[in-house]
Amino acid sequence: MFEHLKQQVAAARGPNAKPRTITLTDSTFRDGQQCLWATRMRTEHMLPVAEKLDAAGFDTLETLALVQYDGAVIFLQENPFERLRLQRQRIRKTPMRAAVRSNMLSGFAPVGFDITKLFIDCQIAAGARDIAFLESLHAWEIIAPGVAHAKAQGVKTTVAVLYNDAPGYDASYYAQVAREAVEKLGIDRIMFADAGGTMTLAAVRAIIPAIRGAIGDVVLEFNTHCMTGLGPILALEAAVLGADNLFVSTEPMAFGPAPPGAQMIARNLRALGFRVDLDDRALDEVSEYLGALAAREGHPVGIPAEYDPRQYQTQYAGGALENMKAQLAAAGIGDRLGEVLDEITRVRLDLGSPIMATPFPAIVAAQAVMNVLHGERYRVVPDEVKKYVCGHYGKLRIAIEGNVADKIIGNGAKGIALDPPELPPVLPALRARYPGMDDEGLILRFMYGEERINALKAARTDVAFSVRHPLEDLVRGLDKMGAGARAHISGTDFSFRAG
Amino acid sequence: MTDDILRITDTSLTDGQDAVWENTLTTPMVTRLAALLDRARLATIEALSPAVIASCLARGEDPWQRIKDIRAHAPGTRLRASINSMTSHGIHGLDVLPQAVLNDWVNQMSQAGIDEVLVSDPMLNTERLQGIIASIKATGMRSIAVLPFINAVGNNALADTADMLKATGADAIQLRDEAGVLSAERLAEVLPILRARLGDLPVSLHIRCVTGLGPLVAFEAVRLGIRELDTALPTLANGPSLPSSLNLLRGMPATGVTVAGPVAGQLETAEDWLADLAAREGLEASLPWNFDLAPYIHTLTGTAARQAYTVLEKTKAWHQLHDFSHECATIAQELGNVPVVAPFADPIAQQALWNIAAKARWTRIHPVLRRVIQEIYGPPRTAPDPGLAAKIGRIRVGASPTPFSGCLAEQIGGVPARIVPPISYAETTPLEALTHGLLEHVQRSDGFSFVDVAGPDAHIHLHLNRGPHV
Repeated sequence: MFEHLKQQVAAARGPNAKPRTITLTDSTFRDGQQCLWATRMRTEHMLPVAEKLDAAGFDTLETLALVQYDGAVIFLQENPFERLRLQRQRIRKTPMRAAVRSNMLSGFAPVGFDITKLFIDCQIAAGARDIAFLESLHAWEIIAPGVAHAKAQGVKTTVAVLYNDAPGYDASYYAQVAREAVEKLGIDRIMFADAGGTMTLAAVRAIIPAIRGAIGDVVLEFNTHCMTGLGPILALEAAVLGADNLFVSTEPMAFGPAPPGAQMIARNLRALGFRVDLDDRALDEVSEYLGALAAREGHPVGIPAEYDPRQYQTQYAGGALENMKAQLAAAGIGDRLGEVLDEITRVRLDLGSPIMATPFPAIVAAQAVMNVLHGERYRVVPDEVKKYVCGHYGKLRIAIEGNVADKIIGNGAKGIALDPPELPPVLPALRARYPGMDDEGLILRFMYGEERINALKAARTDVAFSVRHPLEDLVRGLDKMGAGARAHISGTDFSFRAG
Repeated sequence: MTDDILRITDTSLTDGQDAVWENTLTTPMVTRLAALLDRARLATIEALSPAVIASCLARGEDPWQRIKDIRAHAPGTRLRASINSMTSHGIHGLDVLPQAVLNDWVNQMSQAGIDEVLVSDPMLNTERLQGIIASIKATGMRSIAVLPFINAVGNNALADTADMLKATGADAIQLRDEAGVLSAERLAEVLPILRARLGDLPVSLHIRCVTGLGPLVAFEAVRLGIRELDTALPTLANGPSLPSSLNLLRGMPATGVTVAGPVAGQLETAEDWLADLAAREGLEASLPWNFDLAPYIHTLTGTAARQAYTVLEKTKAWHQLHDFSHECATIAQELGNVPVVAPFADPIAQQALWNIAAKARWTRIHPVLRRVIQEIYGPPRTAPDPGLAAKIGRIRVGASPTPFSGCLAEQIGGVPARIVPPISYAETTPLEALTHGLLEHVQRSDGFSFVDVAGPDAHIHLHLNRGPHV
């Protein structure tokens, strides 16, 4: 395998050409901690190593996405914009990436562009220099205004093209989707993302060259996760097949459900004959800190996953599955979980196999539960399902079978428009409600409500934060010495005796 | 119910615990585990290996008694042992075991209750292999000849070796990838070629999970028709060790392949016991390793890789992993492309660590590699580096050393055997073990003076008067 990949790299390079450079996007502060710590990394945890990450040589530092907004505000009582600002004070060289999710800001209901535009502006003002746009249905018309606005502000734009293991999502589909993103949106970068970590080697080998051929010189970033154990080899093969940039996380906030480790990827890219301008040894210091931080905070680090083909069977798993089990149990039909899971597979296929990224798992599951409960499929249709079919979340690229579409439209709520309605502006009412409020305050209150935002605390920025506890370590060590031990420690302004 | 049977050999008692726990398991532990494995309807339990023999001797245990005890506790499952014609202990005249010693070894295993023998000759010497296989056949045991998978060796050359092994009269061939570098694609290429050459001769597979891809290869192997596979229980699987039997059985339906295999529930019981033992004994359960290209460069066996990786981590030299790997490859090449398998893999790894730590390479020479250079193990496959021979002394010819008089186990394991009477192992209850441990501890001068243990059915109170500190 190694020799085969090396030969491919050498052949692509040509006999006298210089090694191709592969850049890395680090997502320790975003995806690494999202996957491993459920977004519980505090701003004060990040600041001590922000400068080192900036100096390490990454092409981009992905620092924040909407899930981190939720984590910061709801669970940590922190201001995510303040986090961006504090990071920016320390990350001066490497562009910081923030994200926008389709036209959804609060929950999963589409909102008017005015507030999305303000959200982009606030993130840029706080320090973001790269905005990634996530649109799970690849309905580029939804994000086109946001991309255009971000470009007009002078920041880089990245669009996520999401891998989906489903009928119709083949190499030609992805080539078309990527080509359209480049031609219609004029973006700087395509991120081909395997959020579920279910991509196979065969898929990488088919799709990466197809996207590469379709997007010209636009940067192609490859993003995967390591829950099947294959993430690292998928990333390396993607580089061999034409990806310019790989999405990583600094060890040990890597592997398992998280992206591949930065140091491991850099080392192996060089072994294959690529150039990687990364300071691995400096990153090792960051790794030491992150490991100590994880131990101190009682959070896990990434553990390599064991390959298990069952991981490819259901794309409805993890937290969504646990929620489903709880909901069915509460409804008194917990014993019908198997039926519901089978029906989820069928409904997903009926609906054109949407990528199982929020909000679509919940939409598919809701219809599946209705189908199981009521016996006749699509007799009862949740509002979100009809909205989905009518394009309220974006134009569907893969058509829904006519009979199913008719049933959904016919049996769904009459008040739901067959064409997506114009989304009314949000800001006028918001500004009227919070007169004099700054833009960030408006955004956060729109997203989380007054009470939560009033409870936010300022992040710690002093040097008192440390992963080391010398006094605790000393006491522990003295305790281990046991009875009969004597200790006398003195410093400039203290004296300590024990024994 | 299907007639398509997947014959799994559990190697937890040998390769698994060798790779993960350095053969820590005592005879009472392995016999208990063997009894649990016996209920799982495995094809075979691997009960003994050269490494286990050495570890038994080091603990004052009789390795042949271990087999007899395992046999007694696992009467329903075939037992397998592995034999290697070469050693690393350096006892003169026993680097390449003479046929007489190999015959003794075979006979001893047969008498103790072994049913199948896995035969390795690192240099693939036809005459030696024929001798061992004939000896095994004479006892009625099944012989399995090891076909080492070397990435650099092409499919047809591999098939030529398989032909040679078939000609030795072996009852089966095991494609053995101790470095864990066999890819699913390569397996798909090589299997048809091997089958074409070997006809009806069964081909089994032994792979390690050094690159993290071992489980994937195991699933692919079954999909490609391999029906004899070595595995280990999850606590001793993955990483430097073999794929997990339970992961394989649980995941098989998802691959669309329907095979009948061991009883997963019984394997789970064995695994639960093993995991509990590990927790009690402070032994770390094995974890998968991350993919890295390093194994394709160093091609060390899983065990040798684990030991070397541990040193690199402890000395904060992990960033030198690829330098180390290239050094291993260079050493093997300089030695005349010596096969990177036991008994050479560990010495190559150690030599590489010395070479990258020292200012000059080969300042220190590992004794096993010295003997390789001296061609004590046989002539090299390719021309060795001429500079190496100049670094070592010549072998004195003419002098006849005193023949080694140790017992068979010492000849194989190279560890002095203490003469011990047959040991009878009886299971103790937790309370008995606790009491025994407390009484032992109390004898120590630094032991505690006062202990009070209360439980639902026991109360232990110990008070030792040690003088002023009471």
